[in-house]
Amino acid sequence: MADNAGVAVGKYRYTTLDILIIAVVAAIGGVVNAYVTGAWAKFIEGAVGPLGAALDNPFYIFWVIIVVLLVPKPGVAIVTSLLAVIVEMVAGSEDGSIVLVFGLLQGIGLELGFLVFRYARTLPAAILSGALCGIGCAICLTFIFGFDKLDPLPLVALFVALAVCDGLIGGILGYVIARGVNRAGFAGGTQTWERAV
Amino acid sequence: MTAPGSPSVTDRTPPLPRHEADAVAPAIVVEIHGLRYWYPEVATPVLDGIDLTVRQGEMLVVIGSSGGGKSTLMLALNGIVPKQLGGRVGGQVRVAGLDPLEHELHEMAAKVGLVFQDPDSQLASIFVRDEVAFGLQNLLVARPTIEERMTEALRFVGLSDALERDVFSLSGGEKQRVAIASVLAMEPELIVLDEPTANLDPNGARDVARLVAKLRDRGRTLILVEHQINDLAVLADRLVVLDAGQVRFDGPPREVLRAHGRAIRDELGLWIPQASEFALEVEARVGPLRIFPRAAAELPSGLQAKAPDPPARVTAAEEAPPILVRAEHVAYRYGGSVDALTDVSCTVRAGEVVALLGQNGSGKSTLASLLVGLRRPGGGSLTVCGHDARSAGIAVLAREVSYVFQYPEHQFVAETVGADVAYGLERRGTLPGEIAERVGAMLRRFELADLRERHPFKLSMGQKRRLSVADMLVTEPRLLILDEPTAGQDRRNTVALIGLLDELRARTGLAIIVITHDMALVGDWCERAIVLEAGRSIFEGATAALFGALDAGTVASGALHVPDTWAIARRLWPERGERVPLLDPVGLASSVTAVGR
Amino acid sequence: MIFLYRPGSSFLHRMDSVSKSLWLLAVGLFVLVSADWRVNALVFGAVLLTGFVLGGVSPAMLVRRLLPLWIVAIWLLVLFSVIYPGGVTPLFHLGPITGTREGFTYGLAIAFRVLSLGSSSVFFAATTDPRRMVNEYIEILHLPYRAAFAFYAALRFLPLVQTEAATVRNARALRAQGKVAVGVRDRLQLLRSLTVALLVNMIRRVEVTAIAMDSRGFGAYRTRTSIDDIVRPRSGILFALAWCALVLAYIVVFVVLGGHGPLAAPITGGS
Ligand SMILES: Nc1ncnc2c1ncn2[C@@H]1O[C@H](COP(=O)(O)OP(=O)(O)OP(=O)(O)O)[C@@H](O)[C@H]1O
Ligand SMILES: Nc1ncnc2c1ncn2[C@@H]1O[C@H](COP(=O)(O)OP(=O)(O)OP(=O)(O)O)[C@@H](O)[C@H]1O
Ligand SMILES: [Mg+2]
Ligand SMILES: [Mg+2]
Repeated sequence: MADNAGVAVGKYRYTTLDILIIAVVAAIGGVVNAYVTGAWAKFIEGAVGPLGAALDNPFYIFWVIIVVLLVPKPGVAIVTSLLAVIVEMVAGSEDGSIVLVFGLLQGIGLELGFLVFRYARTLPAAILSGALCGIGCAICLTFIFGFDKLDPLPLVALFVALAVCDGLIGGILGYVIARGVNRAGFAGGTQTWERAV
Repeated sequence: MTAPGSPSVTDRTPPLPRHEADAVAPAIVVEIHGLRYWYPEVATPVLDGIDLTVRQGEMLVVIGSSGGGKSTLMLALNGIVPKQLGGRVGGQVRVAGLDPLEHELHEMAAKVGLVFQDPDSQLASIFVRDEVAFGLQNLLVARPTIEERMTEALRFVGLSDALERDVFSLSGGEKQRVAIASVLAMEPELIVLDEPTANLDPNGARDVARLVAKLRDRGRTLILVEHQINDLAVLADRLVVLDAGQVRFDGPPREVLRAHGRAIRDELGLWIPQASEFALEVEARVGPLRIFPRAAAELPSGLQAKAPDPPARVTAAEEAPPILVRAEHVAYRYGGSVDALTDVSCTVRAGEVVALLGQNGSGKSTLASLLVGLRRPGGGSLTVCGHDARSAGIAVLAREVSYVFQYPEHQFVAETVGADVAYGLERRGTLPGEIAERVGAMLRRFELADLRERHPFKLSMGQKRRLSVADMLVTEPRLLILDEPTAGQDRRNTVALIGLLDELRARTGLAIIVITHDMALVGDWCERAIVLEAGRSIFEGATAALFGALDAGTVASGALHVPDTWAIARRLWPERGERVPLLDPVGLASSVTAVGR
Repeated sequence: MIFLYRPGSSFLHRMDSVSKSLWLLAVGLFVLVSADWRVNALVFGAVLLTGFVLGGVSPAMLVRRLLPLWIVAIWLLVLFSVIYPGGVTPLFHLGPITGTREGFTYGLAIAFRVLSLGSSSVFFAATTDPRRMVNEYIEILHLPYRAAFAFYAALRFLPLVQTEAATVRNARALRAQGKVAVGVRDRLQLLRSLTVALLVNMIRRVEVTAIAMDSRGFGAYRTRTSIDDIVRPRSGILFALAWCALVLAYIVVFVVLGGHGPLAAPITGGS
């Protein structure tokens, strides 16, 4: 088979389909986050305070986990995470450019989690990735909302809660959904799925 | 739409000599020898020894059963198969002198232009100008040239003023024409159209068909893929029939239909034009026809017929069956501004099959959503199975009325066929024992029992359609609404489905509303028809009466035309005017007594 | 559509999107490094002026858009007044809870920070044509066009996603015969089932799109011909650069040399 620079189905290079899948999921995620999750999050955080972020953040980020599980290639997490927040911003989320910072740091966290497992499509990878994403989120919260001025105890609680919730809720949710998509016949990527959960 | 089958555009295959030795002979555009192809991780080849030659200026129609590998073959022409989709290939392909395996995809892109079925999926851009320029930009064509070709291509497809529009504001037919313009702008030597009208309403389909005819008349080399021989297909110089991964028949459409029409219909399970079915029967019973017709318009003159047998489908009911739906001046408005329905009145009785017809946007889906309780009527009165639809919501109406979506994939909820059928019963709290029993019975009836553990998305097109209907029937509704049930289905699947539903209808008094653009289906299956036009019901009555009214012009809906069977009846019994019986091709043929000189 | 962009001819509309992004970043950086409420309030005021006067955005729209953010801002204000560790000067009493002056000013700084970030990007979104943004990122920043296309494709498919989502939701409602999901477990199930169906149906569609794009040579070369003129008014560039200069100056003078900044106390002791 001839080599093809433009469209090689490689381990690293994104195919056109990869790009479109990233785009579509980021689009769905971005808009849902701007209009649905965003509204819920304000409600939850309004009622519970900043720690409430741990309850809503998993629902912001599980989209990215789905994409990485469907397109397990380096950089996909960061790209999707950023794209989703850009869409969120263009769609008019009132969180505005704050979400760009979140998108970047959370994307890095997600990327690292999958990198550790070398982009294997496994539940542990999804959970670790979610947990690191939670840390990224906590860092953003701390510096943007000025929580660094707080006592260390609540701050540590925030980090732990976010890591645990993002890892367990976001990671598992993302994995289960990606798995469902996979079962419906979309193979995607170059690696096989681990045996059933 | 009526078949544009004028003699000037028929059978004009130039019998050119073959240039065996010279592979780049200008006359040959496509040359395929022994092409075999396996999808990744699939043991049996989809293409199993295809041989095909296409010459410059020819128009070829490829038909075959759904899932038969037509699209796959087309993707092999520019190398997407196997470069993008993986898998193994064998044999040889040359297109415009190039081997798609040896040349890069973008080199092939300048030679082969592909247009696909779904207008919504194949457009990559938001604006028409970006879409038409798309390929040229990728190939680094200079900007002045791009602008020139863009203008020219849009002019050719009749969308010159759409340059600055966004694709969301285009109708399906317009999107399809933009897709064709985008391919034309690249000036390919071969244009491949894969079921370009399958997702369009009759108006859109007619515009695209005109465009295809225009391309053909300009001497473009065209390959058209269809899963039935429809009005577009009869334009072709050659008809190629695929079966089991091979070319089974190849020749001028008339000859192929005359010689192999029965095999195509009965063995391969594909639709052939009703006029051809009729002609086959007549030739078998009475004698050869002067011209073998591909559409009613091509029937030779001089056919003689005795008075028709009395129609077999007389409903001799002593007392009229109960009324299930009674709509009086129903209105519905979206978001306080879009008047989707303004004045719809109709009735549907138990046990009947009613066609719900009308152009895109005439309000068919909106009416259906009122019947199932997804929305509540804004005005008028609507009674469904004894419930007032203004107060009864989805929880009440969805138990009585089921809706089968156009694309089965939309309604699958579970990961196995068995669980998917059981879903509706589970949600309503049926006891497990009863669920198992009813699901089992349903699966056996729909021939899905062996596939119980299969994932719904991994079924074939026909199986998906059957499952989507089984899903809805398992809860034993009194009224079933089918949205475009024949789209993308071949004859075998459709006949099987109709058989199942008819049996159920006779046994339980199930009423069926069919939303469709397929007038042959309306003529074959539906007893009555309701026509919507811009939110109003402009006709309700027997199907034969509708065809009469359409013919006489008293019902004017651009989306509707009479089916071949009715047009043939009209030819056979001209003295009866619009009051001719509605018969199937066999019934029609059995009345023919002489075929003229 | 779902997007905020409204065509117009204001200064912000005419400005190229790379410069506008730079402005957005400058505003963001400004309020992030500053924890002084007066500075952040000034920045917020400047952003509002920019949007209303230079962008022609209606104040009513901004107020409506930022409604949830006002609530968050007030929340932060109350929260920090009460729990700010460095707080000594009582400001108000709510039963047993005491709000401090130091906490209040710190909360004010954070509130203005959040509001500046929110409003600046609303102005950005309202005045930036996404298509032009993609083109300018490719032409000016030399972003690889395949990457930029991901953004364009996201916008392209959104309307389709909306209709697919509605269909899939209706299908589920019908099949469940109007039984709504109750309880956390049921809801999560529904969320999963809806998302899977939506994704699978969208992926089926984009598989076709990908083939249609590849068949027309997408990705053939590193670059592709542009069919748009890039217009970059100089005033726009200068505007963005001025903001950058201001931020840098602030950072150097007050943060590096002067001891303001996020890691310093908001209002130094006795001043
Ligand atoms: N990417 C793929 N991987 C594996 N199998 C595939 C793939 N695409 C198609 N197939 C299978 O190959 C067979 C031929 O598919 P193809 O789409 O070419 O048929 P078709 O004749 O165009 O059918 P239709 O009339 O439904 O469009 C089908 O059984 C299909 O399920
Ligand atoms: N969700 C909606 N919001 C607003 N307007 C709508 C909505 N759905 C449909 N419409 C409008 O209502 C009218 C009737 O649409 P409907 O979908 O019922 O037509 P249809 O006959 O089913 O068409 P098609 O053949 O395309 O399926 C159209 O003008 C359409 O634009
Ligand atoms: Mg096909
Ligand atoms: Mg409809």
